[in-house]
Amino acid sequence: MSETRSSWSEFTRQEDWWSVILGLCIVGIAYALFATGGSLNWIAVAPDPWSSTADLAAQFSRDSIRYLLEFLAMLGLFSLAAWTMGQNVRAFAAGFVVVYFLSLATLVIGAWDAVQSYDVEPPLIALVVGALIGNLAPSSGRLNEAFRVEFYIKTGIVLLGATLPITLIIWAGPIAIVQASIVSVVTFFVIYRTALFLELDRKLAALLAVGGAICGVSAVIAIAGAIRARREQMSIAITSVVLWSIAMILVLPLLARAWYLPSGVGGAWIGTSEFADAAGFIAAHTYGAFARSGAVEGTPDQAIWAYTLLKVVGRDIWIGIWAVILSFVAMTRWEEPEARQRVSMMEIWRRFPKFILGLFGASLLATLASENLSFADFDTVVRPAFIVPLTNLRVWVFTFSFLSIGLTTRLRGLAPAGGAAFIAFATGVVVNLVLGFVLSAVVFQSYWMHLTR
Amino acid sequence: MTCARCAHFIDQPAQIEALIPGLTAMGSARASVRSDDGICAVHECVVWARDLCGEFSPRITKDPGQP
Repeated sequence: MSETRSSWSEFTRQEDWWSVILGLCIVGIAYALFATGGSLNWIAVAPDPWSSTADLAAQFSRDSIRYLLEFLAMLGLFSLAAWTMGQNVRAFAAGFVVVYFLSLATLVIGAWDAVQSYDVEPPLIALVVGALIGNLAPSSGRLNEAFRVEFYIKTGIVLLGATLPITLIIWAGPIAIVQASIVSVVTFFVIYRTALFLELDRKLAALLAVGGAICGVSAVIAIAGAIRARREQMSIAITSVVLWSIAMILVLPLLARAWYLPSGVGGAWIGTSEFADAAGFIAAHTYGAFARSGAVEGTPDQAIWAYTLLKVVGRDIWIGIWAVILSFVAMTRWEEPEARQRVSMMEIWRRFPKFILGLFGASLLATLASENLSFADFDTVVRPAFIVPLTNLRVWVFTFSFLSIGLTTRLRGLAPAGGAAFIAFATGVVVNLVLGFVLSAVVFQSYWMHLTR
Repeated sequence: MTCARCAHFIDQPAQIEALIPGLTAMGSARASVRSDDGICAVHECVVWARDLCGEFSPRITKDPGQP
């Protein structure tokens, strides 16, 4: 790698930019077709609800060409991105075939009415299927190339932007940033001080704190270089984040349902208190399903919107700022004078999760598509021709991600975290849960309850 | 003389992901958040590409004409 690595190289070799390129190209094509009287529906297909094998067979018989074209298009786009990012494209393509067909099986199971009656959503099924295969089957070798949790979830988030009106981001975004900031700062200091009290190294304390307070593994990655953390410290922080994130996928929706929180409020709580983007989307989808079945007030969209506003807009954007603050602390107080480096404010931009720009871009395009239309026109014109195909594609890409979480979370491969790190992180989790609940369900409840287009 | 040009600096995403257990479960070495950070094989820690230290050893780059 060159010291003067070009912007173009960064643009083509980082999956954040590729998620923006792929996501915005798809949304742009969908918009162009919609604007000229067409739709992306012909290629964006996903299993419809079914109740008998005859139903299912009829669906696949009718849509087989659409599925084939959709598969080839996604294989081509993701393989192109993988090749450009320097991955082994043959291994990626082989792994992608596995990911696609396991996702298809997951979506088919999730569309079965017998399964839907239990509010079991495809995201949860994908996670379980992936975890069973990942932990029980022999090593998948080079197929791992295609198990890209982050790449798929980022692309899905850009596509999600098309269903999240920009007006909603402008209206609720500032509240999301305020709420997320309060919880992030408090959680950071609770974990950090507890870890120091338990006599953990301050660099490990900082990694655990950012992992619990900001955005999980991504925050750990962003901060590790800034404070020159040791490799095993990074592994301990990652183990803590991964295990707690998976636990929260089940805990948060069940707790929120037990208290009958409206879907927007539940989504906001999940966005405030989950640690990883992909894990949180599973929890938010699960909670949205409770709203669909009438178990809680609100709509499935409200759970996803509130989650996205809190987690992506409210928390993820702070990564670069935390990296600069902690690198400044490390360089001025932790490192020996001869090892100190100048901290550049450019780190904020370098580490900014660029896929968020794609989310905003897609949201803007979708808002333009529905400009000056009544709600009735939106439902009869925009939704079927523009929103539904993009939602179908998002469901696919999210399923790739959820499946990949299971496939890559090999419990035997995780580094042991140790009792002190566990206690420090768990203390932060408890404070985060309580504070997140108070802010979502009491202080800012009226915002999250009334999220609407 | 920075880590980016040092033989001990590991900055290939696939190598980083192999060296840190669990990284790919909910993260990625190909993400913007990593920027151009890498792992120092001497100090066993994560460093910025523009870091420097006394253990610097120049990275040998192959001549394009060599096999």
